[in-house]
Amino acid sequence: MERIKTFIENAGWPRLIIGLFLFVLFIMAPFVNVNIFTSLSDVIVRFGMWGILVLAMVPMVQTGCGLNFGIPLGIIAGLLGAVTSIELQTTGILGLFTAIGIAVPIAAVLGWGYGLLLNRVKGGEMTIALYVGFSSVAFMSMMWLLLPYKSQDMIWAYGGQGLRTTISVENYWFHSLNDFLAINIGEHFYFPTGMIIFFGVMCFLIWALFRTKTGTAMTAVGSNPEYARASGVNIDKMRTISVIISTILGAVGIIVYEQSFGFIQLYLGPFWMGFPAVAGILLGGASVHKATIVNVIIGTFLFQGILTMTPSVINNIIQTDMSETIRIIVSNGLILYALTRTVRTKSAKVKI
Amino acid sequence: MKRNMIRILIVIGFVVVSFLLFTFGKQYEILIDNKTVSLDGTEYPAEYTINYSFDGGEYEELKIKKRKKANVVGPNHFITVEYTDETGETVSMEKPFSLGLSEGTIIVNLPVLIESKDGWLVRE
Amino acid sequence: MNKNLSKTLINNAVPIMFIVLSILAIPLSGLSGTYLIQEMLTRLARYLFLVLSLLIPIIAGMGLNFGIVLGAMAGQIGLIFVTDWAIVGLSGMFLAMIISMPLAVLLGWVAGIALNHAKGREMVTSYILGFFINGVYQLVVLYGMGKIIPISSNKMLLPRGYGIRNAIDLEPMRGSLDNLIPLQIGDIKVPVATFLLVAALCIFIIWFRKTKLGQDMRAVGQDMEVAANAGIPVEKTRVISIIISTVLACIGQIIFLQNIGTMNTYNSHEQIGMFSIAALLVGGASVVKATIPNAFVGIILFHIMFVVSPRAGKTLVGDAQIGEYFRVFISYGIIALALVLHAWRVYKDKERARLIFREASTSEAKGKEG
Repeated sequence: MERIKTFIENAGWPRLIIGLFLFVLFIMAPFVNVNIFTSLSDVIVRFGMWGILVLAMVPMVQTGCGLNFGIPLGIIAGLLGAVTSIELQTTGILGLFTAIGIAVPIAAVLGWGYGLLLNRVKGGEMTIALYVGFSSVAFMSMMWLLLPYKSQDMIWAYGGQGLRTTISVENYWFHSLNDFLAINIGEHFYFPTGMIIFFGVMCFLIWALFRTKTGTAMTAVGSNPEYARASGVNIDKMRTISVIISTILGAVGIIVYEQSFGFIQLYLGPFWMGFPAVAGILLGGASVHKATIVNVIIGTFLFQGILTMTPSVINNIIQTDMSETIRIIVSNGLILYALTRTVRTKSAKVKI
Repeated sequence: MKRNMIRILIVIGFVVVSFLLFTFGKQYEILIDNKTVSLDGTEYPAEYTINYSFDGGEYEELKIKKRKKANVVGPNHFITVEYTDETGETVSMEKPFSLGLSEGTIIVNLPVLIESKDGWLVRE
Repeated sequence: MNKNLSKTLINNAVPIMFIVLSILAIPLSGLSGTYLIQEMLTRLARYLFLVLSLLIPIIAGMGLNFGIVLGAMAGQIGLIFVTDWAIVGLSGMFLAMIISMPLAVLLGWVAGIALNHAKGREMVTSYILGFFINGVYQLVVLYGMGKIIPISSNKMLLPRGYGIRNAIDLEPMRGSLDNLIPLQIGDIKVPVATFLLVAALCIFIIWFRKTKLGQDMRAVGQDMEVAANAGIPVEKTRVISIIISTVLACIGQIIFLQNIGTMNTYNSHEQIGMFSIAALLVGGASVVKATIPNAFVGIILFHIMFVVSPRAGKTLVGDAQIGEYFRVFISYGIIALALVLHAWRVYKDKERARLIFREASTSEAKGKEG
């Protein structure tokens, strides 16, 4: 009994409930004529699509910058890279890496500026991140109209000005990672090996980074700033580095997302991309102050699992598409839970 | 104690006000018929083109065998009708009516009304 | 004198920037003065109540209450019922207010408790809370109404038989408050009754600040710990401030929709928080201080920009779309800017306090040594 209690406490109620829910969904799937293999590969594909974007949360949480609602900034860098690679007519895996190659420096510059900004607003990072993300998306919406891209695949065929709202990558680098060493079993099961390997490499890089001297210093900044300061760590520098890494991961993440999704979504598309990523890492058991790679993997799997399974299973049961509403409630409920939970202990300490 | 009394009074006040708002703000859809109808075994033929108006508003013309729609708000109203009979004389009459809290469609049968018989107002 | 001037300029940088922007953009748009004045009067009547509902949580130190969308949702639920019962005109409006008020109180209470658990990050929490409750709202309105909650009129339901339609026609209620006391000056219509209601709210806010509760709120806003030591029930006071704000927003949303005349069941409330807050900030308010004049000035400046920018964009680059994006950018950008300035100030104060503390302790240590 005691054991179960500690287990629940460790796992946290939301994770447990959603984990069980997902489990029930998988069990029910065959009974409502949902093919379990199709569902499973859908979950895996979406897991690969979102993984890096969720991973992008880790560095900033670790240095105490909170949940990176400002991920749209990184996404914008990624979009610029993607659009430019199409303009350059690069295709296949080479095209993908061209896009990443262009996106990363842009993300680094943006992240650097963003990091400097966040260093001046310690304590209010999350709210500001939210609005920095939003305003940069709105600003780029104007830019997409004005930037002088010429490729016929990207601008409106006639009439309008600027880039299209969605651009297909079909002829360029569609599924270039997904299909790399992909495994097809039978008719229904598909495993996007390349994408998962790529995600694994990214996870490994971040894991390795936090084992280096800089990495431990970054963790120290987040978990115990006074101690870090006393031992001579440059707090602002560490925070800036973490923001840059987060932003770069955001840029790489969106390109990986797009090669699987098949479309580049411009204009207001990146607006809400931050929320599923934030919800994902929180579901994985991260808090506002602490996040690990394991949190990323578990969280992304659970969250994307729920998002994939609910429409197919629930819709077959009650003949209504409630997935959108469930997505809103689950993702925001999780964020809300994280925001209100951590401070409870703090306020108990202050005793107000 | 006094505090609770005031609270209860406020709640009661709100309930009363809501009830009044509900009663006086409710909109009813009325169908006005100028068609031949039978009522209690008597037949009331539609014979004239009739002008009607609600609550002293503008007149609407309703030809024989026609139906029109009107919206009224609140429980108490009057309808005014005007028509020219076969002698060429203009007849005009006014009838008050009350809708209470009725649900559903309300029908006014003009041929019954101009005979001043009860039952010109039907709730369906 | 000179120093004072530059200080005023810095403190009012945002409104001044907007005035300059408007002066540049109005001629470009080619809109007439009469049109603009009419438009501004309409928009003042439409938004003032909502924007003013933000003031009380600011007094209580809880920042910009993005949770006013909760009140807006409550108001819309009231409007749905009233429309279903066919209560029209002013009676319908007030009945909608009365039936949605208990819901607004409940939601405000929930929000207040959530925010008490998130001290120091009220704004982001209230923002997310808005999304979360929006999900619940969708669940109730899109799936519950017509199934569990009885709706008698089929006109309001989706063809599948349950769930409210995307748009609800409020034509029977449209302008019932705005046109209650008709006043026309030249070609310009003035919504007198709405302004009277707003005036009543202003008087309420001024009066409220002077009451015991209002004073308590200010104390809580300045320093929670000090207030708690002075015997003020901090958490309760904070909850009350959010409840008041939510209820006012609920009334504000009903006034807003009464003016617009149609309700987008699933969208009308979404942008309300952002637009109201952006307007207040444009008026020169900050996260810790906002006044009634801030609300007035803010709405006028923000909405001049709103009306003018698509037209100006069209003249400048031949595309109205760019103006649309420009105003979205400005709305979010202005909030980001205000938040950054505020956080920066707080952070600097903290740094300074720490330095003073450190100096004091080192000099103390030195004193002991000597």
